[in-house]
Amino acid sequence: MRPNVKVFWTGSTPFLLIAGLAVYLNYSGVRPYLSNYPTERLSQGLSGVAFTAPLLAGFCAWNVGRMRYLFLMPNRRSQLSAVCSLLLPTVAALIALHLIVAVWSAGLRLNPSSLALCLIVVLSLLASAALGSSAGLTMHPALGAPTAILFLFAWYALPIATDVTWLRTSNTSSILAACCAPQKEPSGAAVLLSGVVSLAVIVGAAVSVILRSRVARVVMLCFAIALAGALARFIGQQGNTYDGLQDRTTELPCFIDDGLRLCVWPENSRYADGKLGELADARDRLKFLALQFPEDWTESPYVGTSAVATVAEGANPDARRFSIAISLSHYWRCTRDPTADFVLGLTLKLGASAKAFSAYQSDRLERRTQELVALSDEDLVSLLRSQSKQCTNR
Amino acid sequence: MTSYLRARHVPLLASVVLVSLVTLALSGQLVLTTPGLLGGGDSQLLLGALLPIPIVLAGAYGLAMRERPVEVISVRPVAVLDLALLASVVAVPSVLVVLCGLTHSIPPSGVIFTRNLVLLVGILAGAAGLGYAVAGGFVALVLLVTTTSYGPYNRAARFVRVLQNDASDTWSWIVASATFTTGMALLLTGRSLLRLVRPGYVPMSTN
Repeated sequence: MRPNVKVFWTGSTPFLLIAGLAVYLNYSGVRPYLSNYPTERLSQGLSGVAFTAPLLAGFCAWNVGRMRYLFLMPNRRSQLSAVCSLLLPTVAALIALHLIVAVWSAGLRLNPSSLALCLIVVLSLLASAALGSSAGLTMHPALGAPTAILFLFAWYALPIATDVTWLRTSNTSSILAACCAPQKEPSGAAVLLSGVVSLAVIVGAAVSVILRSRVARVVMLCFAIALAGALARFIGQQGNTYDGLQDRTTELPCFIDDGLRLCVWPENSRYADGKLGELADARDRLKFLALQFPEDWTESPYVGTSAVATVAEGANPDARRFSIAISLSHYWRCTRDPTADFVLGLTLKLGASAKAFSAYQSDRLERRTQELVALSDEDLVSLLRSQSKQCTNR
Repeated sequence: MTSYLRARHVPLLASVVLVSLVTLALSGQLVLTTPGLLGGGDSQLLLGALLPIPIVLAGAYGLAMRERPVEVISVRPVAVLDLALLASVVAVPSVLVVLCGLTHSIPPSGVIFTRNLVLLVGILAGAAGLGYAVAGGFVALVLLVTTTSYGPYNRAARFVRVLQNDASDTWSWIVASATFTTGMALLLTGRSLLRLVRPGYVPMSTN
């Protein structure tokens, strides 16, 4: 099998340009809003597959549908070889494109979970190419490519906006698109499931190409898709969440300073010292309250007794004080309402300026803050003391 | 004439149009949520906006089935007949939607259905005029997927999402009618143009 270089340059270039532009737009649009969490960055970098997979299927169906000379070839093996030599360079280029964006988004990461995510993306691209080629071989050229695009779009892209568990966890793109807040990660079951479904589709499509009669091909293709769907439905119900995510299991490195212990997600380690300083400062400023300041802080919400901190990068100092005030209010079990007087007062006592909440664009919040700022220091302290009596974790 | 209608699979086309119209009537204002894959958030898409797709596919199937060599030497004005066929594919559903509106008020899904039908049939006519009728459905689907994926909050989204915009959006109607006019003109003159550009061009193959 020799790659068909001429077709690659003439037929594939426009397709690869569109796909490349789409993958770039898809990632660059969300990039400013991503945290440092590598899995999140990688998933968002790879999630363009929801768009490129349907287009790839259409491209394969279109090109295979145009290969009239396929029917003149002596056997299925030479047909398969001709199809591969036509399509493989483009498929390989598209896979390379996705991997380049993956490295751009999260750096070169060779740990098993990152490799698994890359692998299921490669498998889903191969599956869409196989489905597309099979549709191109089986259907009339005017119908093969549109049908392939429509089917793959309905399978890969539309479930992203739905909450049907088995549909979402059976395709790679939905898992990637949903991934992840810092405390979540793609669940192993969902990753495995999407990989297995892709493999089933690849095998089914390959067998359908080898079959002699057109009816047998259609039957085989429908069977493969139905099998993949049934498999997805079965495994999707085995304890999977609808978005294919699970609680993050990463170990948190801990930092100790000045009697405080702070455990942070590994990607936030470099901000830990700064955060510890802020927490120590907060402890000193809130000594007047008859509440015990928590000594154990963590970023993971799954560690039972610790107070939960957000080690946000680049947030303005007032927002960070507001965040500490909310964490403390939660820890002391005072109130869960972040706009309550107690939280606003704590934020002001932590040194926030009167304009701390202007970014939240809430008139009520703004007005109430102005009233609290107008109070004298003694009045504010007595207000916080009286409100702290409702806290149950003292 | 019968052979022309048979060659274009007009019975199939007519039944697809019928099924689409019935689905349109039954679906009412049924909405699909589509994700903005290229940023810009999810959007709500009326099912009616997608119903022209099967009609265009059936049309592309029929137009790609032509017995080209016979047509090239025949005296039958095939291009004119094709134009009449595609024009009626647009006209019949549009008239029905408008008639429906005389008794009830015209629902947005009916207007969006008609607009998208005008646009996509225009693309099909252009592709057929240039001798690539099989590409009509392909291009229509690529357009659908691309414009759907471009989220509604993206920059210049209104100008990209010509198939998904509201019924009252002027820009989408301008694009649809311009595409339809260009497509129809290409359908009539495309083969002559290709002969001018590529001397010795004989449209023997369907793609």
